[in-house]
Amino acid sequence: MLDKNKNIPPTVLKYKGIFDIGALYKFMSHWLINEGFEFYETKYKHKPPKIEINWEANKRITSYVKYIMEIHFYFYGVNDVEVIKDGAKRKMQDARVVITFSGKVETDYPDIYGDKNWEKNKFFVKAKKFFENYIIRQDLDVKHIDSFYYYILRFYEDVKSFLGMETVGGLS
Amino acid sequence: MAEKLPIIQNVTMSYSGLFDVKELYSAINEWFKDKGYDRREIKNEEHVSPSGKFIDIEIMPYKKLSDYAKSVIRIQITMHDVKEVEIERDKHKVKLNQGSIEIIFDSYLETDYEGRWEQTPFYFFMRTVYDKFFYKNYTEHFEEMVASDTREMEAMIKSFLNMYRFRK
Repeated sequence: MLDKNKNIPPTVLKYKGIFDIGALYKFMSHWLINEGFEFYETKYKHKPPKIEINWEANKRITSYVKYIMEIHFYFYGVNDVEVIKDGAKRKMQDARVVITFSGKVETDYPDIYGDKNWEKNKFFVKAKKFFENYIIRQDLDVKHIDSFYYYILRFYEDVKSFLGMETVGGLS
Repeated sequence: MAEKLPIIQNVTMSYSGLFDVKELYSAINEWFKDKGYDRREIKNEEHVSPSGKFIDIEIMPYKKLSDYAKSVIRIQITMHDVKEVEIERDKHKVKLNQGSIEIIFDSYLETDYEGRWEQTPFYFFMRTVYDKFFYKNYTEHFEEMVASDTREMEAMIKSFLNMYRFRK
């Protein structure tokens, strides 16, 4: 089990070079949408030459378990440049970026009315704790927390590949 | 909070010359996968500059030895002035990288990683007594396993890099 609070530890990606911020944004947002995540942009701060963006992507796995992926972008030193790529002139940016991938597995997530089914009274709260610590512990650890971590790593590898980083291909 | 017992600290390896960054990264990850370690990447940094790329990677894969003990190996890889070069090998042109690498290995044995034995002072006391008198043989055995895995990993990387040193 990675964390008894069901948090996935953060993984940080830092890159400095020439790339297309818009194309990166589109690639990552489409990746999340294609994988079935509900995608929310919780923060967008543009103060040239810095850009700071926070994303939250949710995916309901079962009626009890939900995956939440949190991505934080920090672009700084952004300068517009024109490069010749594949024989055509393209506008890109010479920038530094720090992308932090983290997440958590939420159990007993709120229903459409905003209520948590297992927090109606003290008995249910204790029953939920017992249920998660002794009955479905292995299911949570292996089926959900570990597999969600590798899911985030797959996204991380795809982003590295998009940026053209050398250290790609860690997940086989 | 889990108890972390350092086994190997700050063992450094340096190399300068030809190598393949992608192959090295894949080889390290494959080795850990074969040994049953779970992957954990803390940081991956890459800076592109006219003199070459600067790459900084930190990984910390772990392996649960039991429900009480976990082996953690931390590897920091720093590569300077990495450039792409083309060499001729066996009458074929091969693309490789040239630069310098520094690798630092640390490993430790983490016990009670789920924090079950620190919920009350009595549990903490029982854990300490158990570790010192009843579980000592197992802990020593686990320490040897962690040290052996770290040395094997170091040897694997050395032989991988030496392969490029001699096959020019």
